[in-house]
Amino acid sequence: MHYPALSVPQIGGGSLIAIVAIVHVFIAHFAVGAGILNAVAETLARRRGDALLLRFVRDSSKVLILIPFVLGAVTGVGIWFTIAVVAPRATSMLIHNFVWGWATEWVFFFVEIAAGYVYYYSWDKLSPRRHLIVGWIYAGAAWMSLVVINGIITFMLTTGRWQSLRAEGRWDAAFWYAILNPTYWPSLVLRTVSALAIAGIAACVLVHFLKSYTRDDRIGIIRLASYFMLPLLLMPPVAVWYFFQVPRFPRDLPFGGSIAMTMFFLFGGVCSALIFLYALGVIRRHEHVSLGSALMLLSMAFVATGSMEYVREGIRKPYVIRGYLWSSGIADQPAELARLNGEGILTHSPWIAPADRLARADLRTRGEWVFKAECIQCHTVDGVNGVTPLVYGWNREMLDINIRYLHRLKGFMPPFIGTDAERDALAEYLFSLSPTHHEDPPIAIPVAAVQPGGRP
Amino acid sequence: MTSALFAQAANALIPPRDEFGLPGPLWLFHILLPFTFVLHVIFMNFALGGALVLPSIWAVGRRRDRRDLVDVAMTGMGFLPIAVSFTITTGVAVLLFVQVVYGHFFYTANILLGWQWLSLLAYLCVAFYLIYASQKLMRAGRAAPALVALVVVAASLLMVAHIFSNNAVLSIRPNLWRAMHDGGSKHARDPMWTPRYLHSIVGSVSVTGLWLAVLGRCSHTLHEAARRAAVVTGLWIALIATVFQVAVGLWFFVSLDSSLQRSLLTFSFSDPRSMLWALAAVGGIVVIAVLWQSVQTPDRPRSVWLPVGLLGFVLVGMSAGREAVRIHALAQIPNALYQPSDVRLQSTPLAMFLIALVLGLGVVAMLLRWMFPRFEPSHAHSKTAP
Ligand code: HEC
Repeated sequence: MHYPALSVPQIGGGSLIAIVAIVHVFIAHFAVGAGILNAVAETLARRRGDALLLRFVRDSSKVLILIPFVLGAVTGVGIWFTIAVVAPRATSMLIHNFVWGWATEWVFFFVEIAAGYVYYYSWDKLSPRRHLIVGWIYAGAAWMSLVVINGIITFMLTTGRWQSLRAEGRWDAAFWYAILNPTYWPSLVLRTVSALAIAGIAACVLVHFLKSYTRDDRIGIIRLASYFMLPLLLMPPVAVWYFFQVPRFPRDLPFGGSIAMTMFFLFGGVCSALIFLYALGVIRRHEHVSLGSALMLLSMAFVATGSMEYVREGIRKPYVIRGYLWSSGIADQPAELARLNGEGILTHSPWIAPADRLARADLRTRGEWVFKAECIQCHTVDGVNGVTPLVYGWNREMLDINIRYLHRLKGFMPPFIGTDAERDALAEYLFSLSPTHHEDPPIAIPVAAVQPGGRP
Repeated sequence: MTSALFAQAANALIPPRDEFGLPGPLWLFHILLPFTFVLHVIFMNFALGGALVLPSIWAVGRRRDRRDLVDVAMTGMGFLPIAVSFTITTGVAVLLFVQVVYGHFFYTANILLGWQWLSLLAYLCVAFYLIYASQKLMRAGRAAPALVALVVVAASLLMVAHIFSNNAVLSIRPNLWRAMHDGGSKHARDPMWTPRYLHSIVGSVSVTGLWLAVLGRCSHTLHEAARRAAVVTGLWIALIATVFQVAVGLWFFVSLDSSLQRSLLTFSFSDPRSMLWALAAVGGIVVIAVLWQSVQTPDRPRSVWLPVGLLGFVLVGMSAGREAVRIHALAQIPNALYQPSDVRLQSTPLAMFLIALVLGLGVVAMLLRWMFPRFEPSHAHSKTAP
């Protein structure tokens, strides 16, 4: 509305965010889990005088720096950059509510990076005791950054008492209730569990890339790493707990309510279960895991993480911040709706519908602008979730009715917002996308019909 | 801004301030933003300046068969990846606070740059991993491919700086927005652009010079000859670059329109920013004099620490001046900036952050002491005596 629209051809802005976010979440979970795995392994190695294990921790600590520190950090910044260009209003809203949370997370992040470099460069410099402390500082800081960020991510789906507390002007309480929202704790457990599992799997992969390890050497390390996948057993009960905290409508989506959601949810569940069973087998039978199998497990973990993130993002629709802000960047607030429905969305979208051209634009152009203003966040024209195939063959009446009841026909869409004339323009635009209607001459309509409220 | 007309025309395009207001006092953000920016710049300058300077030192050292220079360059390059990753880490804090106070300008600039803005991240990754690759190549004695990799690193980082300059100029120049949006050009055309970009590059070379001098003083892995070479070369680089920097700074100043120039030259206690800036501008000239002294007597500890301290102050003052320019440019647009009445204080979350910050800095200080025992203050003091 208030911002220019970035055009992301074919895949749409939503997919762009999803790609960056899934890569980042996977790496970030790896960083958290690897910090803990490293610290535990070094502690065990020092206590038992296990030179082999110590060598493994040492050899693998470089990966800790090469992957999370830059690829992880850059994709983290990447999420900021992409959400800001795709959904600037939502980003602004989150930052103005949670900047102290993020700033706190940043402190942990800073400590994590500093501790990580010291850890890596100080193997021969610090006493074993101090080196171990640095390892635990790294692990603690990395996990704490998850503790904080988890509050903000879960808030977007379950806002708890945030709205009512804000309305009362209780800013402090609103912040805490928002962070410690109903899905906070189950989500924290789920994320910690998956972080540990990813780190365990990564260790199984890594052990193959370090030189001069015999098969027996590897078996010992793989066995330890497999223990980090066992907490996956907690996933089903905690997931039930999680879904009990989610409101009824989105909760139904991954359980048959939406085919895509259900499929991804199943993917995630099945992959996690397989990883758990595999780890159990490895531990009980003292087995070796070949590089191929380890990579297979890693890809399954990636699919599981990606699917779960996809489901989490998906069930939030049509909101970015549930109950407050729609994906279209319009707030689900009576005052704002009254205003936009009265004055029109285009008069409030100066970037998309320049004031000097608005009066002269034909019906179809206005419709295209309306589409850019409130549909492009989830739809492309003919790429991912493209409207052209969706409305293929529909006539004007069908389009009219559909737009009027968007939110009733499909629960994951916000209602149409704007004047009747804008709705008509949108229908005209969608109608024109149908191949048979390409050559229709645009129909000019009186300006007054589009702008009943005039400009503010 | 030259005419109120432009500001007026651009006005409709400026998104409203956020409806949730500011979760902390305005003055606090006005401190946190430049403070974290200085931290960011210190690392960024070493990353960017180092990528430009160190390969040159390395190449010169090889050509003239100066083992000491080659060693300095190699050791310095060992720090480059760390500098890049701390540049990103500290940059995140700046990114947070700039969004709070100027998000509506910042996001608009981001979107107008579009893919160029997002590509910045790819350049960063390329730079980071190629630094590692080049070090591997160097150790393997493969000089030519190593140099090629380093040239790509430098070019990538220059590109990142280029994109940030575009974003910085666009964020304070809404009058450029419409043309950018309609014209499809991805370059922020403004008289201040070129000197601003040069200012950040030349500045990073002079800061890198001082980093090298510090490396020479503190390193315990380099041999004696290399340590001295690091101090001497570093101080000379800092001296020459600072002379240029003052000239580019003047150009930058002249390129601003008169109202912004005036805003920097107003000395009022109600806005300490311009005063800090003016002191820093004078400080820049003092730094030249001090560095001139230092290059004559490079062996005295003071010859390194005095310019380092002074330049630190100059960075703080320049960063304050940067905010002064931003605020004055945007203050000409009615209703654009947050007011104290927008504050919706979240006191306990703020307290949480401040406590975490103090604890976090404490932990990092402890880690640094463990890592670099030579930095312990008592030690440093005893050496400072001339
Ligand atoms: C929150 C994201 C979101 C927004 C915003 C959104 N849509 Fe949708 N829309 C969807 C999804 C998801 C589908 C389902 C696609 C499918 O079934 O394959 C859909 C389906 C549709 C369909 C097909 C419906 C049917 O019955 O088959 C139409 C038409 C449509 N959208 C039009 C619009 C228009 C017009 C707008 C803007 C006013 C809009 N959408 C805004 C997410 C969104």
